[in-house]
Amino acid sequence: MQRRLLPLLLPLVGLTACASVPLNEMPGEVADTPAEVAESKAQSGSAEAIRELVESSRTSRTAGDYPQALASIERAIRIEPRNPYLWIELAETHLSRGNAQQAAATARKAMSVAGADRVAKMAAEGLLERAMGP
Amino acid sequence: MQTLTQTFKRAPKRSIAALILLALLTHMLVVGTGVIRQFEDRRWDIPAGVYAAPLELYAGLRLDASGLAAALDQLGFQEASNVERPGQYRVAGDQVTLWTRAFQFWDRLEEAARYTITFDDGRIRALEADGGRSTALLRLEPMRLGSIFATHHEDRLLVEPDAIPSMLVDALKAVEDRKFDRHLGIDLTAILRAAWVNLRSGEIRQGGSTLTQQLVKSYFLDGRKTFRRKYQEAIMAVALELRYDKQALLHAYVNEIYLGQQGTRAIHGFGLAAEFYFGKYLSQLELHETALLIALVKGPSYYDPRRHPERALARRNLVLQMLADLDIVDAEAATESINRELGVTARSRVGSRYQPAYMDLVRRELATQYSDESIATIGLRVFTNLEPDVQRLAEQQLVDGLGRLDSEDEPADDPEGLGSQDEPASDLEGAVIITQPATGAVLAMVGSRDVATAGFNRALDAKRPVGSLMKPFVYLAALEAGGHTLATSIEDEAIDVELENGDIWSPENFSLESHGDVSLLQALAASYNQATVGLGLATGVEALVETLADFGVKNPPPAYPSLLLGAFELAPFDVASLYNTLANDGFRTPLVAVRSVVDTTGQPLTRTALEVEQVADPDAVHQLNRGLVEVMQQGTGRSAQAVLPEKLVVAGKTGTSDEYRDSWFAGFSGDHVAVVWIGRDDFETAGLTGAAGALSVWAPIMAGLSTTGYQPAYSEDLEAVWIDYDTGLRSRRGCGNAVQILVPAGTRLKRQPGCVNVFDDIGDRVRNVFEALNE
Repeated sequence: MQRRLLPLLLPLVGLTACASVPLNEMPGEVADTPAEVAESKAQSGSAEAIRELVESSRTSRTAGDYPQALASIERAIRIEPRNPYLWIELAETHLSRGNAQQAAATARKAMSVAGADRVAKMAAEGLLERAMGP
Repeated sequence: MQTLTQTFKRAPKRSIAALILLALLTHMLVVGTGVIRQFEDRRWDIPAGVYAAPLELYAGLRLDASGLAAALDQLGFQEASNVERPGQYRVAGDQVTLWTRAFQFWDRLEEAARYTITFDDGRIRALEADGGRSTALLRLEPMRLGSIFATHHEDRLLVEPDAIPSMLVDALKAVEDRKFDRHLGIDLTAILRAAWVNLRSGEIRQGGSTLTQQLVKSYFLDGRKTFRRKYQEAIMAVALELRYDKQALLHAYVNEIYLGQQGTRAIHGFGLAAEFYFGKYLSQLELHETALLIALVKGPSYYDPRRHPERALARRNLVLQMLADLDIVDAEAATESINRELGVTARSRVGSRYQPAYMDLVRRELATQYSDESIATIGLRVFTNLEPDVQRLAEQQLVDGLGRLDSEDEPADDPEGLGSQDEPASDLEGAVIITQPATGAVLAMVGSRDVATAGFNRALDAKRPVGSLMKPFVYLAALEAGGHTLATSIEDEAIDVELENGDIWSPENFSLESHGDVSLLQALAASYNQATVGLGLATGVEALVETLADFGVKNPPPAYPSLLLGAFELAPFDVASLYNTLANDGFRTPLVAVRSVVDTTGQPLTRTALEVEQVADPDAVHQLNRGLVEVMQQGTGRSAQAVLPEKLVVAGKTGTSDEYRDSWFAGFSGDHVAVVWIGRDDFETAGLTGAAGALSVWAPIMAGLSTTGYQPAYSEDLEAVWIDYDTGLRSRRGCGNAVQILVPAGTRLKRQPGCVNVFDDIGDRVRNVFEALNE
């Protein structure tokens, strides 16, 4: 099972390695029921704020400033705790600074909130795969 | 050269005088250096400053203009008709203009800038910085909660030198010590005048103390009025004056002087006094309020505005008149202030700026990484997760709720109220904790109904039997073990359990009745004891112990059968941690108050990283939580419906210990976990079930929070099915008492006759395929 999945995941690994998920594809919240669709519409105003924090977190991560990268992404998670892409960013930061165990746990958390969002789910799975290592 | 002996021989009388003088000077030097050393130690101590979570403003946030104005008032912003400098704001219809103050956060400096915020339909529509530049996110400076001192001065709100109003300084000098700027610690004419008064009356009546002497007295001496004290006080005052400038001494005075008493808690300093009497920051006080605090310097007990309002009023007005006569305030303002009431708040207010229970948690967290000395002296700045609005709500609802329960408790068979006069004051106590599930952030904590007084912190330290709060973990262990769903039918019958010591334990239901075959869902929602014990024994008590250990319970109990019904003591904080993990899809994240600590220059020292650990299968947790939602729909928590917004989905569980000693409620929405405990400190019965007591506090808290409903994320491994609440048989929407639950995908359930036939089944499957295609 794992072996068969691997080729499928490889392109995704490449994608997540450089930038996880393109910012412009990040929805505000994952929705899978009518109630959640409504809720996500109501919350969609925060998208700008979230985008800014994610951008800032990525810039810090690229520069190797992990405390700053974590601070920004955690601010975002406090605002939108059920946004799987934010957990993916957090997991990515843990992985970059060499904390594979926390990266894996955080990737699992991303999967649990991904719901029906397949893009998020696959990105989180790919990250988990990388965190678990060979 | 003469030796001392020679001198002594030649002129014995002069030598003795010289010796006495020498001894006196030595004594003065010793006392003086001693006092300077002590003062120095304390003066340079900068206690850790503690901050609440900042308010993050962004388009889409649920907040209206008046809500923002209230938050700005809390931060000490001034409303102004023209916003011209940092710290001012203006409300005009659906628009708020504000000029923020620069603030160094743990991650970066937020510069001062002017913003215009537009609101629309209860939400922020847009944020614009000066010049029309749109802004995605604006982080307001956080509210300062207070400082953490070494134990002897725990309780203080330190005022920085530049935050001392100049009017206060002028007024203090005018009323207490007019020669302050010129004297050297003692005022000889004042002493002579006082001595004359004292001589005539034969006792010490008048002090003639300078501000410096008052400071010395408050710092180092007790309050006895003896001549020896006076002498010591004078030497110490002179020593301080020789060493320090006037400004430093005034700063110490403002933070040190004794201004009141509440039980064993001494109120020192104008910062804490402003909070204690008016619930305000010192900088927010109006003239008549400042004047009252100055009036209190002369005798906080004699002029206590709560116990002796007429004395306090007379003295306050005397102070105001003095200030007007000396042109420190203008006469018109003084007259206007003289006509105002004292304006002190009632004691034990909620929403004060002093949250002892939360500060206690902060101190304990800091103590794991910093020494007491560093906390009290090196000027740490501590950023916490406390949300002032949430904290205020929790305090208010606990105080109100216990008040309601007290009045219900009055004997009903005493219509004339004859017996109520001698009734002792209620000793019902309580604790509340509110957290954010995903981050484990502790947003609020209340450790007593006396919300603003430090003391026994029940939220952290009251370890009490949890009763039925344990049940969800029994059901989770069963769901995780496999073979069970919420639709599984189990027996609720009399049960005899043989214990290790040979005794037979026969648990009973709350109603003393057994219910026969019931669904797991109903057994959980209605909190049936016999069914739960049966289920727990089938799964194994060890599995429950293991679940508790995985969930972070530090000293997991031995696997006794009585554990299944919660014969196990936990503090409310530990319960919050357990339920936080349920609300967080089975991911454990430590509950934390402190987010980050920086040093005086803003350099980060430590930060609490957001870390998660999966301790339960999210699918099992989602199934369980559906059962906890049903608790609120038709189970033991249903009375909350009358209080909660109609469409708000919440999950929770009641808990009641033996003899009604403990009344618990733990539950969550999508964004908040809240735990309430009510009971008595002496372990006597509180006479309350979880529903009658704790839930009556929990429900209005949940209703008052800005929160969203609980909604588990979609999982392809689960499917939603309708079952009959009583039997657990497959049903359909609207048929009898049909309830929707989650079961592992592909689970086959027996059909409820009359509700589902084979065609419904086929129809369901076709619909499922369509729904899948639509996705």
